[in-house]
Amino acid sequence: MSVLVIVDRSPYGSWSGRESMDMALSLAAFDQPVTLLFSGVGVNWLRAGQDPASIFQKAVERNLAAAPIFGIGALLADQQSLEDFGLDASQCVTGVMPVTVEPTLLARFDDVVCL
Amino acid sequence: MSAVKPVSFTLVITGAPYVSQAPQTALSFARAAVSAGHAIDRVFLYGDGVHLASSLCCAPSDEVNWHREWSDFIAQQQIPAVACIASALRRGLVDDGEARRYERDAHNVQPPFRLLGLGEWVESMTSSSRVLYFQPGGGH
Amino acid sequence: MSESSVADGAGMASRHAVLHILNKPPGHARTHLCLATLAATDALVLIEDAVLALASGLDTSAAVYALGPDLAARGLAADNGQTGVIVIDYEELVALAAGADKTVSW
Repeated sequence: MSVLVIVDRSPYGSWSGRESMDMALSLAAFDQPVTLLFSGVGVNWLRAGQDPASIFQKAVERNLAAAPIFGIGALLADQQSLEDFGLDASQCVTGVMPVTVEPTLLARFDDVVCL
Repeated sequence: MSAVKPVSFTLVITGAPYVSQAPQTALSFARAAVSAGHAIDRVFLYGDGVHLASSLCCAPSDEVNWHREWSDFIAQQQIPAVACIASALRRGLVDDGEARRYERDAHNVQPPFRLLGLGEWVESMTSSSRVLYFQPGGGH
Repeated sequence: MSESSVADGAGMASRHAVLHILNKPPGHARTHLCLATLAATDALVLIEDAVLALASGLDTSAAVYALGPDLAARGLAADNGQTGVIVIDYEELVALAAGADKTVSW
């Protein structure tokens, strides 16, 4: 079983992206193969230099950078969405792999979760 | 319809009652699935979906009480119903045990709903034939 | 729409590679994401607010189903002029989900 967890909600203003990432981390904790895909406004989770202390939230940036250590297979990001938000790989947390969102992408996974 | 062989479903509800249509669509789906001879392995409430577990829901008398409808259905069908404990505690949904642990003077989650971790969902992902998600609508 | 996807008895059990279940209204970012991943061999089921796509128009070569009770609730006719859309009930939605190789809830 390999699972693709898609995050397409913006960071900090909504809790939904965190809850998607918690699902990915849970799968990884139980040794299930899991990949994260960030799309749309969700790519903003990947921007380097997040400092949410002044809005009293925990940063997820370090968690994402450590995703391989937690057992998450890959951090994918929709190429078009990265461009839409002026992001390139150098401005993202390390290890982000740009991809094109198309039907063949889903076909690589047994399950797709998009909260 | 008879050509479809029985499968097992896990239904994940992430939309809250009276905020989204999710609990209604999920219950209509669940009733149809049971009628067709399929199994429902588990109902898992996650994110805002945990509000469905609140026994303190007081719906107006001319509206459906979705907590009551779901409680009756899962008790009758003996379907394990789990609210994610992390989602629940943050939103003020506590059972008897958690109320004591956190020294709260009330609790609003009781059987047939239980508070457990995301491991329950992972278990469904590995064992149910299909895991379906009933989500908030477009406004969220 | 291919004839094989007609919702009558055994035809309903015809397998679609992926059954995409969409509940977001037209214009929602999730709707665009769903359509971007929809292959011609897949099927799309419109539920809840997603049935409004039958009023605004939908351009896909995949099989399209719409949940009847959600159409009725919103005052939309069976296919609202959108050709090839198959109106289903909850029982048929269950059969589609049970028969699909894979489901994605958008």
